[in-house]
Amino acid sequence: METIFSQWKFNLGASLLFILLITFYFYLTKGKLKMGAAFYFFGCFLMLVLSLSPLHFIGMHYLLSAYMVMHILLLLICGPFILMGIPKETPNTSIKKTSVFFFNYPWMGWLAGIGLMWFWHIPKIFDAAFPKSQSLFGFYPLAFLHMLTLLLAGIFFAWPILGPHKELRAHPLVGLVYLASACVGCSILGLFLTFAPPTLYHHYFMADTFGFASTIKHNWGIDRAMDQQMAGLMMWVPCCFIYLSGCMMLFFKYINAKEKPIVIENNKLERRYS
Amino acid sequence: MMRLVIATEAILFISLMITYVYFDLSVGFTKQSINYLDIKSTGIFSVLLFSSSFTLVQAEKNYSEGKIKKLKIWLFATIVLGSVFLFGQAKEYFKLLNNHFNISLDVFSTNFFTLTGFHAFHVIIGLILLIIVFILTLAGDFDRPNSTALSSIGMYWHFVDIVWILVFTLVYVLPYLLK
Amino acid sequence: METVNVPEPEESLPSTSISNDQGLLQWISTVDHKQIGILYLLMSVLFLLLGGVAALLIRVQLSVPNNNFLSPEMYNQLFTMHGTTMVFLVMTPAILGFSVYFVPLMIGANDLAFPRMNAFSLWIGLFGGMLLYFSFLAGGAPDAGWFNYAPLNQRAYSQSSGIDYYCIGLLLVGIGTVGTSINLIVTIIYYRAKGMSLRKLPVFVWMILINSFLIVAAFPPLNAALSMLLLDRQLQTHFFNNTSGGSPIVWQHLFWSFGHPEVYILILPSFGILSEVFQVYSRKPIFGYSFIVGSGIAIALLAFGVWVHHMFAVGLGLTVYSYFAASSMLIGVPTGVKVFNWLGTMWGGSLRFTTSMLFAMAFLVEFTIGGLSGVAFAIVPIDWQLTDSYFVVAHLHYVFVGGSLFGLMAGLFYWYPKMSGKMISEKLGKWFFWLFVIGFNMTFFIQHILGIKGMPRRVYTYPDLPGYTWMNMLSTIGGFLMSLSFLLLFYILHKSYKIGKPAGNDPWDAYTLEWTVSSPPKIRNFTELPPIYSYRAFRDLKENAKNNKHGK
Repeated sequence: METIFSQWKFNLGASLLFILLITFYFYLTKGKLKMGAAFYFFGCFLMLVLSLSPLHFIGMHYLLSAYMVMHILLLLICGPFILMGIPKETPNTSIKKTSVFFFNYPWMGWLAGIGLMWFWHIPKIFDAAFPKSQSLFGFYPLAFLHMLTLLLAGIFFAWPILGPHKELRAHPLVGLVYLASACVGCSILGLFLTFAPPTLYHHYFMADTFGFASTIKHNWGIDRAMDQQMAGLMMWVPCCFIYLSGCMMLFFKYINAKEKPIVIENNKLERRYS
Repeated sequence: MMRLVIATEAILFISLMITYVYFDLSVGFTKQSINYLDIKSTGIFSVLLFSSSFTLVQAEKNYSEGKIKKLKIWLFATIVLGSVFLFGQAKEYFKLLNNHFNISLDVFSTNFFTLTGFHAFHVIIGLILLIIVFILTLAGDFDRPNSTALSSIGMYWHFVDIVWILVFTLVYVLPYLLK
Repeated sequence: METVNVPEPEESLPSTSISNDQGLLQWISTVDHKQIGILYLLMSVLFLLLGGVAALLIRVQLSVPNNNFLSPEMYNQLFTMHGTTMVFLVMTPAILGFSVYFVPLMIGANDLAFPRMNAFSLWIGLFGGMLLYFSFLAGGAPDAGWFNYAPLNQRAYSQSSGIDYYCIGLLLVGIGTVGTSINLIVTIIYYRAKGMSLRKLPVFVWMILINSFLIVAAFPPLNAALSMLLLDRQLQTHFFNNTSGGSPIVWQHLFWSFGHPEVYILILPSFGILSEVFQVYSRKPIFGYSFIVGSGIAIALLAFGVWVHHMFAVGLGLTVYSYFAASSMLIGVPTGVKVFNWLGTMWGGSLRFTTSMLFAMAFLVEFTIGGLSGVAFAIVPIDWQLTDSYFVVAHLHYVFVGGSLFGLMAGLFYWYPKMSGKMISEKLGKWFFWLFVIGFNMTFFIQHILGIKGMPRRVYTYPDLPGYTWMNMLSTIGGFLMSLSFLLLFYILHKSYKIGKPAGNDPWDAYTLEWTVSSPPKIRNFTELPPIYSYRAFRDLKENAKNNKHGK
């Protein structure tokens, strides 16, 4: 018998994205594998697996909370992993340029991450981002765009913190503020989702094409209201927990770092983030 | 310091906006917003407020280059634009009050007046600060570019503008787009 | 001695030129951070007396069942004023007093970054407090509890103007508090001595820095809520009025998204004070500096993610509760880390049991009790059973008094010689300590049991149920012991100031920069500073001197 957990479905958009990302890597390095490539490929692979998995299926058709877990994983796990695998030295200077850009304007990364997350949760846009038919090999530009931008947002968001050029990362204490404020941004969104009326997103009220609705409702005990609350809380609490862990890591990195002997320069540095 | 002041003010506005959205989601403001509010005239006044940010940037630029005469002109322009925006707000308030749309009418009016009123209050504070700086400039206290007063006030003014972008989007534009 | 120049504010400060002999006028017009610090502490004492009297009246009313000593209306006003006063007008000014006094001294600065704003913050805070108390004369004090739930705070249920004074008073107090916090942050970031990077900041200053950020972030929701409430009451708006579409829950969310961080705002400075006190009286640098600071940051960040646990009885849904139960328990972790840091500091140190150290050690016990009953509340079914009972009262007093106040007392006895220039009487101090600890535990420990037995809080009297009478009587006796101990404290402070032995610069053989200057410090704190190699600059200096002597 088919259970909901055996719903591995082919996803053209995600597969295309996977191929694109791999091609991009080899384009960057002119066909060589560099240090940290494993991170990159792990990130891509995780993205692919996630979007073929039953989690994606449930998120697409039944549960907002599953969809939210997908989001968080894409944004906060896949993105940073891919970023960590981006090689530092490449034949062309685009990576270096990006690092310099985010060094000068770290808030752009913040805006990319938090802004996009907010954007895709505006109810109308949220509902529009779902594929309209169930055909396996169909290509849905908006759904593809959704995935691509989320992944890119994850990468750009993490750039000032984990970017490939260590000397062009934000100061750890700036990073702390960066992550803490991101936590606030995503808390507020989570708060809305948690306390908003459950009719917010129409998508999940559609017809039950696959016949799992009663399993979810009766065996799992999750109804629409609870689902949306779980989704909001997912974004609010565990998501923030990831940010806060990042904050703590940055802080300990800062406090345990060796002090530079030149005092004056040090003072200058501190003035920057005040 | 100004950044910290702005941070704490920002959280105040976030609280107010969250309240607005909370009631919006539970009661539904879209209909009232479209019925009562005049997006066109307020939109025009908003554009004036946004442009005051650019004039202030010009003022700051000229100040750092030591062009005091241009500084005075741009400062004056900023003050005028800010005042015109306030005038627009007042006009809208009067119109609403004449239509018996006052703060204690219902949940929407409560939230509308509180949110926009708090913003208008901040515009007034910004204007007072700008006028003080303008008078001091006329008195010759700002002849040399070594004071941070202008850039601090600038930061505040831009913040007030950004808040208005958010409030305007929330109260006027979104209901209009999503109706 | 190798020295470093002290960063000096570039413009001259107003009124530092007024000499010390101008009496009261000088205190009123002062912008010196030390005098303002002392004024803050005096303000705290003033309101402590007022809030304490309210508490005693409450305890007298509750000492026997079916008592008619206070009317229910009066009782409501008194517990509201007691809570509000103690949180906003006693603890907060005491913390700010120690902060504005010692932060500049510990980082080698001569004043705060904005001395005039410092004075403004103090006076506006005091004005706010006065306004709150003026409500007694204006027809009745606020009477809806210190967290002032809607719809009780609406005009229909509270007709006197007390709650309007509550709104305006707390708005002003909030402005003052936020102003001082901004002042402290700017001071700590820009006015540190050369060479004192943030890695070499004393723990107390770190905690104040974190705390100030917390204040800047936590007060705006309160201000928003207070403004809305004022509009509700004055202009008949509909924010919290559930009969016309408003939502009382919004008040709870806004209030607790301030209120929970406020709990940490009151406790973090005490953590900082204790970290200094434990080091000095154990003759051993703090164990795990980076962990103690890091856990402070973790507490501050987590503080904003747990406020819903105050609302477990509202009916927001089990899903919500399970998440917040988990995150609330999580916050116990960094607090536990700190306790182990302090134990590790004492471990193997040569301890000196001064009054200050006794308070610090008692803190560990009392605060752990408060923490444990707090973790118990994070478990939702227990919360449902015990919420709004005397168990809550016991818990919050163990946290506020057993936690914050014990820390502040440790700080008072530690820093008194520096502030007054006189040694404090240790013998009387220990009397005070024991009297206070016994009185405190007698008052509040029994309330755990009363709560479990089901006595509700905020009800002006109770029937003669088995056990209720003697437990309440015991609690009242404890309350009187506590107030007696406070009278003794004021006597000690006064007497030590009059006839105490001169303290000298460094009576405790302490570690941080404030002990390098005279006691009390001159108007200009520093003319020269030792070089700064770590967060315990003064100790490094003394160790170096010792080593050089032995070397020669």
